Order: sequence, then C-alpha cells, then structure tokens
Amino acid sequence: MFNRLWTKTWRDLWQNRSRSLLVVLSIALSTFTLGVILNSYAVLSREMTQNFLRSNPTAISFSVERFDKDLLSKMKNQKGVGEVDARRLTSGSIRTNTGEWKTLLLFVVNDYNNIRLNIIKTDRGTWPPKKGQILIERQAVSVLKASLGDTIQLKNIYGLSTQLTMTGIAHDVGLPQAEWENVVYGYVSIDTLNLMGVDFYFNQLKISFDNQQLSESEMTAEASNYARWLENKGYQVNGYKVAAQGEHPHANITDGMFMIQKVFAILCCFLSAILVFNLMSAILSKQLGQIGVMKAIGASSKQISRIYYRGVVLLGLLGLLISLPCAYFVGNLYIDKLTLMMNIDISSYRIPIGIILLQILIGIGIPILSAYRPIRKASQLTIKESLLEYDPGVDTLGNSSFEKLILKLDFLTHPLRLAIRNSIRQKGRFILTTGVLMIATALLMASFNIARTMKQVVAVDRSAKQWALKISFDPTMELIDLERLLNEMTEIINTESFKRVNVSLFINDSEKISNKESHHSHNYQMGVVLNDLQLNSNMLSLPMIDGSWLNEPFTAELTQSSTTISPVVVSQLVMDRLPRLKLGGTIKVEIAGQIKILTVIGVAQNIGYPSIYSSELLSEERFKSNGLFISSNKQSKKELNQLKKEVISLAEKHGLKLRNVVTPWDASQVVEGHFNIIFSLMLLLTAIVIFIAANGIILTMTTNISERTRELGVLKAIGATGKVLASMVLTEASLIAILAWVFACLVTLPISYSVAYWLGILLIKTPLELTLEPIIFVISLPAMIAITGLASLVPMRKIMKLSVKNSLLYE
Amino acid sequence: MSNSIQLSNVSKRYRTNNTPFIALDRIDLSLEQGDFVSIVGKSGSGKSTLLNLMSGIDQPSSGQVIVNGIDIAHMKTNFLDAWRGKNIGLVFQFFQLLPTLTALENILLAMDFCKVISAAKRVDRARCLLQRVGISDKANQFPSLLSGGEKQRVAIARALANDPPIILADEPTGNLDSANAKSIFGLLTELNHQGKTIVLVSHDPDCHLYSNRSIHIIDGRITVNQKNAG
Repeated sequence: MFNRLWTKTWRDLWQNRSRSLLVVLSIALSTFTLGVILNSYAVLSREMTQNFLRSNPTAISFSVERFDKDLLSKMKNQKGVGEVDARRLTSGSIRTNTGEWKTLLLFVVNDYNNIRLNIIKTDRGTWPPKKGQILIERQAVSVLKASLGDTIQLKNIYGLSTQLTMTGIAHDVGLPQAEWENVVYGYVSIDTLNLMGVDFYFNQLKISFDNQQLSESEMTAEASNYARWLENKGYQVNGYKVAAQGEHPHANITDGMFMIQKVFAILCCFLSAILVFNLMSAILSKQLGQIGVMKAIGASSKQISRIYYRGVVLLGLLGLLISLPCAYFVGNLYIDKLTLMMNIDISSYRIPIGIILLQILIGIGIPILSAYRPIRKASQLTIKESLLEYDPGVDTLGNSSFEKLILKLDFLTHPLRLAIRNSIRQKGRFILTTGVLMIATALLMASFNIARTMKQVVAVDRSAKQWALKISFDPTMELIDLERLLNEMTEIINTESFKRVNVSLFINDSEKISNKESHHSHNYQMGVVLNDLQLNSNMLSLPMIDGSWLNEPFTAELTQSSTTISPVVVSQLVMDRLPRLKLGGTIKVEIAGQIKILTVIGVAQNIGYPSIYSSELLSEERFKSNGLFISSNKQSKKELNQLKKEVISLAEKHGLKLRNVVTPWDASQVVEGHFNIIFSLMLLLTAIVIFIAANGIILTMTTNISERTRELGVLKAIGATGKVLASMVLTEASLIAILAWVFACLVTLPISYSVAYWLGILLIKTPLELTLEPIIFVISLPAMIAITGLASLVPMRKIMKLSVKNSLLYE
Repeated sequence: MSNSIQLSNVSKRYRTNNTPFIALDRIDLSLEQGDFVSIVGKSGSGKSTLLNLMSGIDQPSSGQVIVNGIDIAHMKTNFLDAWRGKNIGLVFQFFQLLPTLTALENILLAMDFCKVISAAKRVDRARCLLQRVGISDKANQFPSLLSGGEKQRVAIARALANDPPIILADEPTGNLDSANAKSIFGLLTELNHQGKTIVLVSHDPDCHLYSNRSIHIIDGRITVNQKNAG
C-alpha cells in the first residue's frame, strides 16, 4: 500500500518536475527568509540580553551636575540600592584619520579595574588607559578610522586641542550605534582629562536595585525618590533615565526591525502558498481522469486525497531540505553582521529547537493548507465528473461582464484575442498569479515611494536650515572676533549668533496635584535642547506640524494673555514625551537652576534631538551666545564642506577655539544613514517577493501551455507558426503584468502610506508625509513586462519546439 | 441462478441548455450471474449510460439499480467506490491506465485500494493476472511503451485484481485493430467461462458471437433483449 501510493505521488511530481522545482524553490525561499529572520532573532535576542546582563546593567542613571566619590557610599546606603557607580561624561570633538572632525563622547571611570555597573571590558590593547592614552569603543573605531598606536587629535568641550595615543579598544555594551550616531566614544583616565584642560568630577550616577524583580513603574517611583533625596542633599539633578530590567537598550529597535522583516517573511510564505495552490490545482486538473479511474477501481476520496497530500508534504520537505541548512548558515552571517551593529559578543549560535520545529511546521503546514481546497475539490468529484475532465473555467467562459467585455474586443487580431481569452480561461489561477505579481509590484513601488519620502524628509530638514554652517563654541570665546573674521570671507553673506542650552523638561508636573503618589511629581527627562534665536531670525524655517513659527502671529488658542507669555516652538519629539501637551498649553523647564514656564505656540518637525525654539528668551547676562549661524552664497555639499574646512582653519590660525562646525548635510547624516539601511532592507525583501512572483508566472504559463497542448497542436495544424504561438504566450504574460501594474498602482498607495506613517512614528515620532516617486510608477510597468517576459522564456521555448503530431497525441 | 444485476423502471434524464434530454427511458432489465451480455446501439443511444448506472458511476433519475442484492442507486459515494472496487471490474475504451505506474503497479494499485487480497499475496496475484492475459513479460513497462492491445490486457488484468464477480466493459475493442479486438473478446469469453458476469458495450457487430444475450438500445429504450443461440 505504502509503496504504490508513494510511487504514484513521487512519479507525478517527477512528471511535473519543472513546476515542482519552482514550487520547491518558492517554499525553500520563503521558509529560508523566515528561517533567517527567526533564527537570527532568537539568537540575537538571547545573546543581547545575556551580554547586557553580563555587563551588570544600570537600573537608573542620574545626570547630576557635579559630584565626587563621597556620594557613592552615601547612595549605596540608601534603602533598596544594590550597586553604585559613577562616570564622568564630557563631549568634545576628535579628528579622524581622514581629517574630519567628529563628535567625541568621552568617558572617565574612577577605577577601570573595579567597574561595578555597565562594565566596560578591554577588547584589545592596553587596559586601563594611562596618562596621555585614549581607548576607543570598538564600534567607534570605524568612525575614527584609526588603528592602535595612532596619535589622535582631540578638542575638549572648550575647544582646546590635545594629542593622545590610541592604545586600546574597549567594549562597552549598550551604547548607541557609533556609526549611526556618527560619534566616537573614548575612555581616558582622570590624569588624561586634566591633561586635556578639563576639571575632573563625576556627572553620571548609576545605581542598580537589590530587588531585581521591580516593575518599571516601581523603578520610576524609586528613581523619583532618590532624585529628591539628591536634591535635598544639595546636588543638582538634571535628569534621570530608568532602564527596563534586563532589557538591552537596543531591544526595541531590534524588535521593530525584526517586526518589519517578519511581516515580509510571512508575506513570502503566503505568496508561496499561492504558488502551491496553483501547482496543485494545475496537477489535479490534469489528473481528473486518473482520479476518476482510481475511484472506478475502488479508491475512496480519502485515499486519493492522501496521494496528493503526500506530494505536497514531499514538496515541503524538499523545500525545507534546502532552506533549513541555508537559513542556519546565512542566519549566522546575518547575526555576525548585526552583532557588529549591536556591539555584542555571541557565545553560542544555538537555535532553540522550538524555532526549528516552527520552520518545519510552516514549511509543511502552509503547503498542506494551500493545497487543501484543490485536493478536496478534486477528490470529491464523482467518477463521471472526473472522467469527463470537468473544467469549470472553460464551461463558464463569457458569463461575467468582464469576460463579455473581453469577448467583444473584436478589433484585435485573432492571435491576440485568443491570448487574452486564454488568460481568463482559468480565472482562479489568473487572479492568483496576477495578485502575486501585483503584490510584488506594489511593494517595489512602495520601497521607492518610501525612499523618496525619506529623501524628501531629509531634504526638507536641510532646506529648513537656512544656514550654511552652524558653529558651536565656548561662551567664553569672544564672539565679536569670530564674526569679524568670518565677515571678511567673501563666501559668507551673514552671521547670526544664538544660544543653545540643555534644559530639563518636567514631564508630569500636572500630576502633582491630582496624582496621589506625590513622589511622581519630579520626573525629569534628559536631553532636551533649547535653541534661543535672535528676534526675527530667519536662519531656521522648520516645517510646521501645528501652530505658528516664532516670528509669525500666534494662531494657537492661548491660556494666558499673549503679552505675558514666553512663546516657544517645540519639536515633535518634545510633544512625543508630553502626550498631554496641546498647542497653546505650557511646558515647565529648568534652565540652569531656574524654572521657566513656556507657552507652546507651534510644533515643528525636526529630525534631530528633541528641541525647543525660542526668540530672545535667555536675555539675561549670564546666558552668553555659544553658537553662530553662517549664511553663504555656497550651496552644494562639496562647497560647504570646503567652507567648513576654511572656517576651522581660519579660527585655528587666530587661536579661536571652536567646539564643532557642521553643515546641514552633517546634521542629517545619522537619520539619512538609518533611512538608507531601511531602504536597502525593503529592496532586498521586495526582490525576494519578485522572485517568488516570477516563479508564479513561470508556473502559470507552463501549466497553461501544458493544459492546452492539444489545442496548440490544432493551431499549428491550421497554420500557426511557433513564433505566433510564442507571441501568444508573451501576450498572456504581458497581460498579467499590465493588470498587476494597474492594480499595484492603487494598492501601493495605502501600503506606502502605512509604511511612511509607522516608520515616521518609529524614527522621528511623527508620521512621514508620503511623497510618491513618479518614476517608479513609469519604470515598473516595463520592468514587470520584462520580468514576466523572462519568466515566459521557458514555456515559449517549449511551445516553439512543439510538433503537431506530439501535441495532438498529448495526454 | 440469482439475479446478478436488476434494473427496475430506470430512467435517466439530462438537461442541456435548458432542453430536457432522456438518455434512458423506463428500463427494466434483469441479468443473471454468469451471463455474458452485449449491449449494442448507435452513438448517443444510451448504452454507456446504462453501463454507468450498473457500475454506480452514474445515478438514475428514477428507478432502482440492484447489483448482487444491493441498491446502489442510494449508496453514499465513498461506500459505493469501495463496493465497486470489490464487486465490479471496469474496462474502458481508452484503457485508462495510470501513466506514471508500470503495468504491474497499475494492477497492484487496485488491490492496494480495496485490501481484499492480503498484502503478501498481491504481487504474486498481479503477476499471475498478467500471465493470464498473456503479457507477463510487460510487467515492468510503463503504459506509454505498450501497444493498444497490451494496454487493454493490462486494463482487464486490473479489472480482475480484486476478483470481482462482474466485469463491465465499455467499448473495450473500440480502439483496437481487429486481431486485437478478437483476442480481447476471447479473453472476456474465457473469464465468463470461469464464472464472471460480463456486460459488454460495443459497436462491434461481431460481439454477439461471444455473448449469450444481446440487448439493443435505440433512443434510450431497449428494443431487443434476447438470448443468443449457443
């Protein structure tokens, strides 16, 4: 019993080997895609957590203005506190080996051999750093483009230049990706910091809890208590950050990235399922006679179903045989690539058995599910229906209004008319094939629409910056000297100073009264930047999401009289942190120890840091300008980079210490990098979908031809040349491509809109405004016709070789 | 002898393009076990429909079809398929061998489906049947490599696979040359002599020479139902 039924199954698949191969490849490709994603996700999420836990992660990181070692023991004695550690974090700039200046985030650890929290390890070279030495975080080495032993030039926060030797590479898990952020992370000793002309004190206090099981809200409550305790002790707390217990800081980014990939992988599986459906429908429609005979000699519907289910299982197993090992090896390569990006070490590539079983289940389950309907339909047919080779597609041709319209296209040539009619003979197959190609085309269009949207966002951001260069410098520097120097340069049209300060934003002050848990009232949020511009400054022209810009009349409904308020515009990233904030409402910020209430009159889109924009808000003497906008008659990236070099060199020549000089291109580099990665990923996944769709075309066209072999023989017998028949195949394929393109043009709009919306929320906390890429709409039509044409080459060759005798004798 | 096949007041009506068509009209027929019946008539006269009703391939619009004491007109399809495999051997005009199985495997498949013959005995029986129809040397050949006559012999061997008491043959010689046709008729006669009930639908004017009863059908009605002279 086993042998004959398996023999029939196997030989049926072998007889249809070209089509079976296509389906095996599609199943293999989709389960491979899914396998790579599931394997790498399983390994990475496990290893990220383990790496992070091995570093003994910080639960709360306080940004305290200035403290020394004494605070550590006091903090350690606080109830519930586990470990305590401190860092000094200062910024500056560092000169790469290619001569570029990059932002430097410099860490100083009290005792490198006794780090209690966020343990930093040596990767290579010396440890710990001695006087005159700097260690570079391993991810940042590629940004710095330097090697061990190189002499590195740095500028401290005041612009003072120093030369240090890069003697080691450190591994600090949990830092943001250096290449994405375009920053260099360095580690020096206290002596080196002093050598650089910077006073030593700690400004980052890190603690962990005794109780590892605290929820995030409990941790936040505790953080608030400790912050208050620190303030009572006379320390100025600029903010604090609560980390989810045991969760890598990049976990949400990884989860988001894998979510997109999983959606694509599931789509691939769905498309493969359609291919299996088409193949089984085709095989079964050709085998109806055989099914009838088998029933006539005593086979039950169940026995017949089993023969074909075995075939589907075989296809799935063959697909898995290819995909499982490939997914393992490629998954490991992908893990290695992501490992570099995530800055973790992999201790084991072991894949959980559940993930492998899931792949097997999908590899076999999806083909079985997709073949269920055609197998059930065929096995339930009566002998009479089977032996008469019942063909519902042909019987009902010309019934629907669409078909009637097609049948009325009598101005076309006969071969063309025949080709069009043939396409719709097997309606189900035609719809599914067109649908698969439509999805592929829509995704291709969406990828380019998103790329265009992202480019547009970056372009808008750049054009919003009406300045050519933005210089930051120490407030102690004489601004007038710098302005005089710059105004002598012919390329520079104008200069305008501004003040940029880090402020603490109260995120839930409103809860102070209503919330019973009063200790929640002092929640700060780090990293909000206030840009105080000159009155009527036109150096920034940010796209407004809501309300009006600083120098425009207020349109917001204000809660106070417009003469008494301090109007500000906030970026959407600030709005994201204050979900209850409405236009016209107020925010409470602490600026250099002073609390200010600011009224939000507008929300602007900015793809950089969370920012607040004001106009001459910081008029007091103690706030000095620390930034300068320069407008120039130069526009291009190359010209502005040249101008930047000239400005830096001129300032150095005159002993003016600049902290940082950026062009609008530098400012958007990080986001552009993120966008490029997303586009590449989307394009790669779209290519996989297109491959599966092309398989679908080959499958459909070969099936159509094989089902019509006798008919084609008759056409040849009455004078149709191989060329005419081949052109009919090409016409059918082109018809599928054209219809797929037409529907894809519509379907891509909601897809593109949704992806733009969610990407915007994920990356810049505001939906991206979709910009369509018109060229892709134009190019995708010939591209799809070319793909379907290529996919039809195999059936076209077959048709050209067909002899009248063989085709008429064809069973 | 007990009634092997009995049709009582059987009609079969079709509707094509909203036009009613009567394929069989109130047929009463009684065949005995061991009969060799030839059914003749023009194309479209209803002879194949009659054969299909006897095998349960088709259902009557009205009337009763009782085969070996079982009313097959009201049997559920799955039971009917299994019952047919055990009780009726079918031989078709176009042989209907499964192209991806060898001659031997085609016969074995029928046994595999019905499980009447024990698994251990199936191969021996299949070889024996091939020998009986005279093509034991073709056991491992695929149908595409067999001649028309050989294919029909395999089909007859397959019809005998589960040792059914009744063989229904629809134009078994319709696709064969006269020598092969004669040989197939001879084979069917031999089977009849061994106790099988044979019902043969044919255009061949000589078929009555082999059968012991002849039935003529014209426009869905039996016009002649007579025993042939021995």
